[in-house]
Parts: sequence; structure tokens; C-alpha cells
Amino acid sequence: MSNYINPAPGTASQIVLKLDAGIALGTLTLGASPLTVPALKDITMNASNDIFSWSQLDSTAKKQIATTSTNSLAMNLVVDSVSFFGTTIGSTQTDTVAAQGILGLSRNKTLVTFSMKFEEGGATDKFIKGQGYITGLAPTVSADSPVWVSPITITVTGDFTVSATE
Amino acid sequence: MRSDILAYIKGLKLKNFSTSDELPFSSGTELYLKNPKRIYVDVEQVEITAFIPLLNSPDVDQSVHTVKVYFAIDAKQLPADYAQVVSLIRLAKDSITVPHGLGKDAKSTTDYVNDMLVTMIEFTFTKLI
Repeated sequence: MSNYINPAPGTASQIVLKLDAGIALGTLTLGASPLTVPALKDITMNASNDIFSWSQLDSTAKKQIATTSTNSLAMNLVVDSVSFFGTTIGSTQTDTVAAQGILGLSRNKTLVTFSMKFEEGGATDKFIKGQGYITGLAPTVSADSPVWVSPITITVTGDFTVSATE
Repeated sequence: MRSDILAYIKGLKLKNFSTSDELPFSSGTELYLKNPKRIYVDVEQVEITAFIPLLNSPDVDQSVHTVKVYFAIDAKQLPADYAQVVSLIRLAKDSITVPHGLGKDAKSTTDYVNDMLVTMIEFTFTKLI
């Protein structure tokens, strides 16, 4: 059997995205009370390397080398009032992640430390961790689909890190 | 939903039709066939399905509530106000408030049973749960 990763939709423990604020740049350990992002419709991890290419007289094909990567985590979620607006209206960057909420983290340009459980398997759990900024919020609602849904992107500063623990 | 529709139809005070609190059950013959020009409202049927499937939380669900209204008339003599009565009953969909509603529909169909014209009006209310 191949080692496909097949999370069960609707299960709370399989795909878990946690955010925290107020953590120093370069530190990927979440604090005691991170914000678990609820109601994810989908999530996409983007790790895109930039490429430097050149031509040589002695080659009929271009030469290429990977340089720096642009990393981000993109997702769509159903807007949950508490996690979206936070517990403090008019929160600032120094407030807790729960106080700021997702909209506050975006508005305040707060550095976010995140941990996404990519694979659940007990001893073989895999987490993708990193730091970045919330961007790309665009909540939308329509008569056909009268539930607020929003895309969100965490644009990552630095690398993704794979970890066995949260 | 059934009680709302029943109350709405009773409130119409239709001249040539009456409304029954009974369900349109059948003991050999359906009640609406035994009692022409009497309007019956069936019990509500409910179906729950996923509206937005989610990865990490229980789905956002919708429930679809279906209520059927029946009445029969003599097919040989269509009452002059038949079309108006059907139209008025269909408007019940707009008189009912559905919290977190996603949609309201009303559909009327007819069928012949011997010399009776059976009219069935089906209401569908969809809401988030």
C-alpha cells in the first residue's frame, strides 16, 4: 500500500491550522494559547522556487538553478465570527492572537507563527511550520450562498519547516 | 412548517373549499378523494445534506423541508375559482418566515384518479442549520 495521505473531511484532528502572535522572528514554537482556525474549506501549500537561467555556447538547452523561494499557505474558510473578528474590537499588534482574530492579524500586519498538521498518524505526524503575514482576505456572500466565505493567504517570510511536533 | 401552511390556508377563508386538520391518510381511499374540495396538509419531510463540506470542522449543513398539500375536485366540473385557489395556496411560500433560509419553492401538479382531479402543491423550504 502506498503511503497516501488521506485526511477525513469533517474531522477536527486531521487538518489542524494554528496561529499565534507575539513570537520572535525565527522562533517557530507556538505559545500556550494559539488560535485554531476553524471551518477550512480547502488549503494549499505553495513553495515556489525562483529560477535563474542562462544560456551557454556549448549547450543547446538552457541552464537553470534554483534561487530563493516564495512560500505561502492559501486557504478558503467559512467565516466564524469569534475567530475572524477576535475578542477585542480595535485590537493592536501587541494583543493576543485570540484578541486580534484573523481580521485583526491582517489589519495590524502582525507577524504570525503558524503550524499546520499536514499528516495525522500518531508517531508519524507531520507538521508544516513557519512565520508570515495574513493577507488576501476577501469575505464574500451571495444570495445563492448566504454564508460568509473568505480566501486567506499566509505569505511566509523564510522557509517552511517540517516538524514531527506542533 | 405544516402548521404554518395550515394556518395560512385557513386564513384565506376560501368560499368553495374547506380546510382539514387531518392528515391525508388512506384507508383504502385517500381522504381527499373521499372529501372533494377539502384541503389536506401532509406531515413535513426533512432531509439534511452538506451545504459546505469542511476539512476540519463538521460540515455546514442545510435542511430541506418538504410539505405537500392535497385536494380533489370533480374533474367533470372545474370550479370557476380553481386557478385562483391554487395560486393563492402557492403564495403560502412567501408568507412563511424561515430563519437562516436559503430558498423557498412551491410547485403545483395535477393527476386524475377516476373522475377526480387531484391537485398536489409541494412546498420546499431550505435553511441552514
